[in-house]
Amino acid sequence: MDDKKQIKRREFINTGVRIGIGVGLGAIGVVLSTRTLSGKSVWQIDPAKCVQCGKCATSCVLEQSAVKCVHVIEMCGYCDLCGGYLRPETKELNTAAESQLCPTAAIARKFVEEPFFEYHIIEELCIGCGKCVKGCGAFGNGSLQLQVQHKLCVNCNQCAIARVCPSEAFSRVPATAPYLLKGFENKK
Amino acid sequence: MNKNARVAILIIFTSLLVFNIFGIQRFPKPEFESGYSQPETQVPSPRGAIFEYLDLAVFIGCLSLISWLVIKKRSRKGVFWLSIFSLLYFGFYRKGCICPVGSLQNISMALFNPEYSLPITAIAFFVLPLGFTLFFGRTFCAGVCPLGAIQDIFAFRPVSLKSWVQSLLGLIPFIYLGLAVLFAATGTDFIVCRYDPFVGFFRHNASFMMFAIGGILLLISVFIARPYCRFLCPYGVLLNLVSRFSKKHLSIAPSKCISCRLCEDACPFGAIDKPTGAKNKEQSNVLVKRLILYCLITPLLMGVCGWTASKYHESFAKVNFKVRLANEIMLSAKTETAQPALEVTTFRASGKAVEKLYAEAARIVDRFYIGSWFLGGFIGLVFGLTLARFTLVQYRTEYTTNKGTCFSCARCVDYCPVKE
Amino acid sequence: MKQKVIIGFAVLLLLSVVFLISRDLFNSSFKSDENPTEYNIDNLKKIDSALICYKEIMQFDPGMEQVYGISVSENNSIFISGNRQVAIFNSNGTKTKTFTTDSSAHCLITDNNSIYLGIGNHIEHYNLAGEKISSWKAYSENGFITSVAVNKEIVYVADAESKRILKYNTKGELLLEIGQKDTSKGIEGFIIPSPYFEVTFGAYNDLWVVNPGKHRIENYSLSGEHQSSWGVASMQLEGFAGCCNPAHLAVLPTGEFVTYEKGLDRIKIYDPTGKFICVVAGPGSFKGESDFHCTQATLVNDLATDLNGNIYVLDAYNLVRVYAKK
Repeated sequence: MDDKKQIKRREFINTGVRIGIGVGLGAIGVVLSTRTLSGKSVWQIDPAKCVQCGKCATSCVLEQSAVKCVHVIEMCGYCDLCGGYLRPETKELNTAAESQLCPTAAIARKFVEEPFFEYHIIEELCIGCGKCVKGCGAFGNGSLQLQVQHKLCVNCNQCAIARVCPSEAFSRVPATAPYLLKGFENKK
Repeated sequence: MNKNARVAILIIFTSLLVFNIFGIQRFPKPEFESGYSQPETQVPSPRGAIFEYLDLAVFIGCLSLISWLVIKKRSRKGVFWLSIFSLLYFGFYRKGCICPVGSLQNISMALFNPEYSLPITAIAFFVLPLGFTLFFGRTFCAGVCPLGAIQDIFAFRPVSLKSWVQSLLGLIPFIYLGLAVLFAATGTDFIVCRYDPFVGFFRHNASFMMFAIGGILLLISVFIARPYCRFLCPYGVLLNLVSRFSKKHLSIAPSKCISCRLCEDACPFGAIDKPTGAKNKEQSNVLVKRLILYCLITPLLMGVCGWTASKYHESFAKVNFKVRLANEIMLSAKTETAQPALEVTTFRASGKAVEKLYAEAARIVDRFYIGSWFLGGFIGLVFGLTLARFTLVQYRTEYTTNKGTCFSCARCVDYCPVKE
Repeated sequence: MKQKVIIGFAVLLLLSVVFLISRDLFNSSFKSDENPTEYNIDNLKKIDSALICYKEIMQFDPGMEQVYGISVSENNSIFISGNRQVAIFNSNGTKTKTFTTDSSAHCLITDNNSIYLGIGNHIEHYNLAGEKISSWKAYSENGFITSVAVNKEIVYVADAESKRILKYNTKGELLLEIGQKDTSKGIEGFIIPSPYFEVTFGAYNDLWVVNPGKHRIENYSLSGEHQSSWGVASMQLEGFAGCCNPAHLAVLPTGEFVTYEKGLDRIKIYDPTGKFICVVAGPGSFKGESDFHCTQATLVNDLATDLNGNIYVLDAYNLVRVYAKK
């Protein structure tokens, strides 16, 4: 008889606590659901804050960093003497491999017409080091910018690059406007 | 070499205006004559938001299915294959993000930082497994969690641990949970994600240290089954506590246990409670006295632990980027080091006011001070309760699963000769 | 026995994992590993101090929110355009007059009796009392005027958007356009990759235009014929670095040229034939570094000279620096 009473009492307590936990969980859910994002959000770099420290190339959790250089061609000056393409020390202008700035030769150059050249990033080769970005920003129009490529980014809960970014240039942005390129409008 | 000059600049001053003027007609296209047309800048879209909801639907589906497999079907085979599916889907396909283990940080960050808004999926991933656990036990651990699944596969030769070892190591997840909440609540870091040992395998990439830690844990799994789940996982703490009050739970025998002892060594996780001897009045009196003693010293323990943790609040706070930065800047101002860190030079070049940074860092340190009191108090409470639990003996006449620590993997079911 | 060893070993491993994690977490110093892909132009920034032939003799804060253009008149009055205003200073840097304009003038020039302001796509003409004399019709709707040059009866205007030098009389009637690309005549036109396009009168009342994409300074007759040019593209001190330089140009009474380059922020002197002479101020003379990614595209917003041969530098951080020959 005693045992049965005890079991009943335990069941009662269990039920009570269970309801308590349930209500608590519900409350957390409801309270926080008022503060949810309207949609999905993704990581992105603000080019205005980026200092091209090179950590994007090495800190991403992926083997090939999800950060790549994006060429906002609308801003490009099509220069022959491109600060993002050529090594700054080169004394003479030529496009030999030793004159190229990119450590992986990921920038392709195509002659358009005198005196203009088109540049584009070979994404498979780009490691996201930002060397060209810095050269372009200093000497050119800043049309080369580092961005998180959403085709590659696995959207970690906490971005490993953001954690080590010295200029706190990483932030979450709405997935509907996932790029923070300067001189370029996000198109859907 | 002057690093100050090397590091690029973030001069954000009032000069925004000049930029805006340029912004409009800044880059007139060259006048091409060869009929060249400008290609468009390529910006691939992220994975659509709809897929997030698909993930959520799969997640709910898995939770429901696993609960049915455990409670109704009692099928170890089913549990196993579902866990493989979850490992492949949530682990290797979805690359381990976002998972309920990590979501607890989003929740605590949101609770303590009103300006932080979190994705609705993070709430769902946090609440749903707890909700299912409240009704069916830790079925999430059994077959949905990819971290559990990968370890479970490696449990080839599990050995059983002494209960005191298990209890002692079992304190680690509480400390981990406390730290995770502290760091998330102060907006410092998501340490559970940072030290997720298996996500590196899912992504086929991680730092050497994380691969090493993951590898070591898998090696341990061979002998001590699911070491991460039992002795590290902070979310497991919550599931453990909630599961104790679950409405239903996996039982070893479908009906009456015949105490055949066949299942005694079935559980690789030491989660089967054996029947106890008959009540001993004399012994229970001693235990009650001890329980009262432990209950009295628990507040004392909390105070001592809280005080101790608060002494270390600055060490905790230094994990925070801003605090570390402020610290480094203060140091380098004092001791003219030849090469200040990249972060310091970047900050200096940004032209932001150092006083503002100091004030912000001080505010974060204050939060850490309060937080570390709570952290210490929490750890003290856990210590006290762990001690007290030893004095509580539940009288059992059957072999039962321990509702707290049982992962509902249903291995024991296959050992039970009672089938009806 | 064997089992105990295994357990002990496994527990030890587990504790070592905990140790590794906590050591990594609480290791609070910043990692100072070198950046293997660093973009380093320090060598190019070094300038032999023997080559520096000017010294800063004065600097003053014009007290304006933002500064865009500077011009110095014959009697050494300094005119500065800023955020929807123009301020006039005497040679000591004391403000003598200020008046507001409808919008900000990106550049300005004074002919000693009046001021021509390049405001967006058009020119506005003001007298020294700050009253608007006239507002000229824009050449191009989206035009962006980056430089104005004036002598007694002619006004030359550089429009970076349409890539033209426009010749006006002082009433604002368009007389001539220079820079129309015409391959049949071998005229390449001006290459303007970024909004820096300068025009100025030389010491002999001749017209000089910067063709920044070609890193050249070109001489035109008053009727618009290309006569000569000088300048080479090079990262070295003698040449002009980057995609489009020099960004600013002024002429000294001796006919020597003063150039400012963005990127490698340096102000240099060339003789009237285009031979490099010396450096006024090298990289590091100004606050920060110019970079198009930063809000500060250039560190020097404009250059001007006076009849004594002093050089006026309008620092982007709202400062006027005056340099004199050593």
